[in-house]
Amino acid sequence: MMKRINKVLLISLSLFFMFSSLFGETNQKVTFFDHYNNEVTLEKPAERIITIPKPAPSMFMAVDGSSERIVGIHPGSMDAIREGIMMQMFPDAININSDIGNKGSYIPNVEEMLTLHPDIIFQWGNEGMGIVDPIKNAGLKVALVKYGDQNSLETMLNSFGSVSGKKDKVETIIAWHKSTMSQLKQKTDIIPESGKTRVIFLIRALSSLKVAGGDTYHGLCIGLAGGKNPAREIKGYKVVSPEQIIAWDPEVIFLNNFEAKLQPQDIYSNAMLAGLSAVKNKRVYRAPMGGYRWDPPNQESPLMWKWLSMIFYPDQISWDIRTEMKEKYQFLYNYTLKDDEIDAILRFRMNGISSNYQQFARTEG
Amino acid sequence: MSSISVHTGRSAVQSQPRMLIWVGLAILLGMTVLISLGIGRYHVDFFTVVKICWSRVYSSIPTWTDTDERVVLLIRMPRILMAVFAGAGLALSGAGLQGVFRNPLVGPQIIGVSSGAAFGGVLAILIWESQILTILTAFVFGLIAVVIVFIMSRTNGRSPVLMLVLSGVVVSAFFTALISLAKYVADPYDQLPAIVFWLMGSLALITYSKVVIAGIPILLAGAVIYMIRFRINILSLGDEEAESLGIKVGPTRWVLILCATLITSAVVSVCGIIGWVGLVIPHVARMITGPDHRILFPASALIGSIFFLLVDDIARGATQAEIPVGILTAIIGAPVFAVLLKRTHAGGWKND
Repeated sequence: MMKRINKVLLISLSLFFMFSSLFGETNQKVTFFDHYNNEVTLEKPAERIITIPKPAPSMFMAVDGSSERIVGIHPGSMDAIREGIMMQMFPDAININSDIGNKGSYIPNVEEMLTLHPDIIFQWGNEGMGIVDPIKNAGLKVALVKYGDQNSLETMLNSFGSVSGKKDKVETIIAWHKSTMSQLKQKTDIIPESGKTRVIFLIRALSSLKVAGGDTYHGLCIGLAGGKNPAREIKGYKVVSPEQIIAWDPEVIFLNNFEAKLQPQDIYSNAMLAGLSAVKNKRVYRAPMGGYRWDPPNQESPLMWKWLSMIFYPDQISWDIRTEMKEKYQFLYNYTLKDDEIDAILRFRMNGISSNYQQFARTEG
Repeated sequence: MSSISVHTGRSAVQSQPRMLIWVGLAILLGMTVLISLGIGRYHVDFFTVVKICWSRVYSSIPTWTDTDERVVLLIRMPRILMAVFAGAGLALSGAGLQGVFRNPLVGPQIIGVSSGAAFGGVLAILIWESQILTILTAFVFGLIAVVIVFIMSRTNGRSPVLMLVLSGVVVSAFFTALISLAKYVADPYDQLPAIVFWLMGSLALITYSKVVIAGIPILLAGAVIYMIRFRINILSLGDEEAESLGIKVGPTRWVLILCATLITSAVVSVCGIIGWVGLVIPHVARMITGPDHRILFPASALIGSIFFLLVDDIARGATQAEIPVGILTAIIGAPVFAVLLKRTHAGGWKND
């Protein structure tokens, strides 16, 4: 009896493998868990996806190496694509429908979504079910997204890998993130606590002075690159007075990418902040803008961590960032970066006036 | 609303105590300013603060660092001046409005000025970045709000107080909706945080130029309100009584409303919406001085300054992060108001 069952099992298994190797990729069911542990199943890798979270399109294009599968994005994502190098790397992305939402909110325009016949929609999961249920009620498949730290970045990459059938590439991306962390740890562990550079990150610098606390992603990045965040006791992102910043006296100020007109010069010419070490020594830098803004978590984060570590310790830490950028852009986006484009991503025009920035300059010849 | 009567011939507060209130409150304000200069996240010891201030009057060799001086003169001083102007202006407008409308619940927020001005300010953030234009837009929209309130409340050539207050509530709600609309269309990364932060009210980034821009209209309009204090006294007797005494009710009321609008928009455009100061402080002042506007006005202004300055000291000094000052004035103002109301049964209003 047992033997027969075993035999049947064996035959059916071998048949299964035969067929699956015959039909290969095309007949693959896709199953993954989203950020809120909902199981999502697709009959095959998605051909048409819609994303609402702003960093999602560039991350998906990095995983897929193409913009073809994305049929709808948030208008805010479109702005990010237009602002940066995405336009050069994926010229077709400009034609993606961005009417599925509106700028001020994440409320989905479900009827517009239906006209796009999506296989799956990625929506924020941390903004209440009010923005999710209408999509479900329309009979569309939803995967929920959370964002803001390294873990959710990896989960997001993984779900994009499953949906597009590019799990291997995602594994390589995540391995690169992990190995960069340990590379950095080796270099920064030898720096004594007293010798660590004091760094604050300003997520707002024009309308108010808003710093990143210790529990934020930016707090984490400062730590990864070997810096010390004097605002670490603050929870989340909080507005502080100029006086508080003077009391902290940061040696480096690291500026956000969100305020369109912000430049290091704005900090240098602020009379209230004139006495800061970071201002006197001209060590204010705005985060680069690559495939996505470098300051929030994204596929290119390891490049930013290395960039930061060189800014914190120009004499002690050095990486060949330009070469690594070329390699990784080739790998992620299938695009050959030109030197001028690297200069633009690193914001040479505005950061060039700050100290030690020439360490990122292209080498002649 | 019950009418109030005021002794106009003879003041409820005799001139001797009136002087005392003036001087006492002025000294208290001076002390609050001095103490506030010594409070902050960056430590400058108190004698250094005094020496730094003195060096501006009589130049001396500095025994302090550049940073100390910058903190005291560039960061704390303008902020303190702004708090003094804003607190005085808001309390004075509140006292004036309560007088001409003969209603203890009227304040710049109730008659729609605050929301109108706030919408103007939000619009200015959306469209341009100039500080002067922000004040102008805030003022224009504050005025538009008041004009709409005026037209709505006008029946048979008069504006009954109840209609005025109700129209104010309607207009306020309308402009609040427009603010929501503006937030909805604002760029979520760049403009929206600026709008939200500004609406919550803060003095964190006050500079001398902002103090001058907001201070001039506050001083001018404040002076006009103070100048018509006698007329307000008569007006608070009731429209018919005032008219029989030869006061043109309509124009006087409108001069005061315009001045209150100018002050409120100037404050709103620089500090955002600061609630409760204009409503609560006049009541506190009235408890001390009684309803005579000749002394109620200066007392309101001085108490408003002291109160707002102290609240802002908490906002900037209590924790590493700034506490939005609009939240604090509401948290402190609302319960204080409730207690006052309960304890005095609107004391000053029956005080005759």
